[in-house]
Amino acid sequence: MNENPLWVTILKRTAVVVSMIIAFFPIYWLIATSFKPYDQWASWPPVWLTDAPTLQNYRIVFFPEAAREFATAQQGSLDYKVSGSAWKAFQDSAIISTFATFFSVMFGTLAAYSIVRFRTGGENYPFQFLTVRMMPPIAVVVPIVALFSILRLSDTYFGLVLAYTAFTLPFSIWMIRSFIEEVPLELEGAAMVHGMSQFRAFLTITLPLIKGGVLATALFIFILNWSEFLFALVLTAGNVITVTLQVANYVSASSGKLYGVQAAMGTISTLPVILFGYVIQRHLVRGLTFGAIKR
Amino acid sequence: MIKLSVESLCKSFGDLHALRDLGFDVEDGEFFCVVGPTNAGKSTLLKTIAGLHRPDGGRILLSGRDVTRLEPRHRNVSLLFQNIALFPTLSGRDNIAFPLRTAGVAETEIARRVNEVAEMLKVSHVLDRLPQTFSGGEQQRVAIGRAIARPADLLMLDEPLTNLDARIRIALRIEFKNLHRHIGQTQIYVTHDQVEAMSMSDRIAVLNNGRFEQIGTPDDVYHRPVSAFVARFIGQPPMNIIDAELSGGTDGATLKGPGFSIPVDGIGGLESASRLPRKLAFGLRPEALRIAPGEGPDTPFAGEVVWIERLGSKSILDLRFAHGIIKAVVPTDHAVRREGPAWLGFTPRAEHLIDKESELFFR
Repeated sequence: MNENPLWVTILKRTAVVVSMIIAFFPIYWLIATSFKPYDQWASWPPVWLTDAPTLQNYRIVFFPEAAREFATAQQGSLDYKVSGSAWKAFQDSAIISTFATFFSVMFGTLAAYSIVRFRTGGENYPFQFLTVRMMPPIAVVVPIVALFSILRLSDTYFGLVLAYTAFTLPFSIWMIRSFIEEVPLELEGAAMVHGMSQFRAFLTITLPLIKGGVLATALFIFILNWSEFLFALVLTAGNVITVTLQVANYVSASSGKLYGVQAAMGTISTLPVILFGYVIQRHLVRGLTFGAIKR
Repeated sequence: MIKLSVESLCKSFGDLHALRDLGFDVEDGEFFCVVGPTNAGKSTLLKTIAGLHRPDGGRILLSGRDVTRLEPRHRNVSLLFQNIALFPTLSGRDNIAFPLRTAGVAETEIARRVNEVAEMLKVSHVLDRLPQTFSGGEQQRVAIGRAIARPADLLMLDEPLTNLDARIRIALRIEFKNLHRHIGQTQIYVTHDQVEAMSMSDRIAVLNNGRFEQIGTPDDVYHRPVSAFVARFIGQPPMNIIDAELSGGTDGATLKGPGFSIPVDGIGGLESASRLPRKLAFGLRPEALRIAPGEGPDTPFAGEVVWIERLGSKSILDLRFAHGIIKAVVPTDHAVRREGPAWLGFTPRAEHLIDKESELFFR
């Protein structure tokens, strides 16, 4: 082993520390702000760690009375939706993200299988639908809004699930495709020769092998859905509300943005994703094992 | 009785013609070997018979039934894949039980059958482990177990012994033969190893570039090859093929080549040398050559020994003569030395004559 000169080591370590600070600062700031009282949210000089930690921000998130009390105390007025509880937003987001993730991964898996095994659509097909992701979503927002109102899908769970599924499907297909390509054709062939239909061979042999990849894809898609804002904004009108919309709604006429409340809601909203990641971690780490194939 | 009948089978992958108009029959209970170099189309042939590839043309009849359009599971065939393809998420037991389960066999019967097969293949000790913990030989045996667990009309084995070390390979070779005798199943055995094919099969089909060069008994393909390809492929070391020219008329015809001249009479008395093409090649098995003490009328090949490979009682000798290198398998004789001179003759009637143009044998 060749030893690096001291200055290289120092430089490397400094780079690591600096990038960690950059990466973790927003998370630290989010959590720190969520416990700050009103007057420290945006004060100058900044309060790094509050000396008067409070749970008021969290109370406002969950209890409408707390929000009203707060508004009275600040002699301001809160936006109409903010006075409502965030429970509904969490519930709606959970429903929409879960279903959209499920459909995206399910259709993605089937489409990817078809592309890998049957060469569906030819050489360029996978690339073609990736182009869906190449335009900024805002470019298609207006036609989609028009389409959704004609189809009466605006402001419905189904509408958002449909939109999210459509926009994450290219990711699903691309990611899962690479996992299916790893599974030797002969494994399915063996299952088919030994008495299974191709679909059953896929379900019983291939699917368990790509489980880790599919779950990793699901986590990725779930994060995309959970944090989606643009479609949620333009395709809803009060009946359905997502976490991202609720965060954006914490605005008071007198005090501007309620940073502390937004931080509290933001902190809470990362928990489901972390939980999901934790649950499937075992599969992510283990990865794929094809012990019994000779290459 | 004919078990499998393949009629003008064709299969292409894009521009690649993997199978070109193949036709052959396999008798009930026959051990039928398909040999050929890499990419000859051997695996494609098996997978097409199994139904994993859809043929572009032709028919496959199994036990008299046209199975060409049937799904693999409805064909009642079994296939041992070249890369083993054990199910990695299933234990050894479940791998062997797999074809029985899909066939809806009762669990008690499955257990009995799995144990029976495992005992026969000596893999009882790995039944409860996952395939990735098996040794190469154990994987192979479990895969064989899976292939034979449920009796099928036809058992196909795709290079089952490649990638194994020599000791296991020889042991399994004998086992396969015994297995065949034991269960009496019709088998197609694919290999690129001609020794395996020669030692095990009832008949050998030599596949080259998607076509059969020859189908025959091991004796046929060894002693009566129809083409230069078969002659070079079967036999180790391969047959010597030497260019020659025919000169003279009906009577005193002579085969001439650089450094040798053999009267046509002397190579076995061909009745009508006039019928022969002028451009010929001359094929000689290395085993048909013998060492002579000195130059003589029946030692057409003289030259320098450039290499000797001593294999115990026999040696492989590389002799450089005017034409090039000729290989001979001769009894080990320490008087013959590398870089020394040697004279080679050959057993009468052991030679083959090949048309240079078509590369086909006419004797």
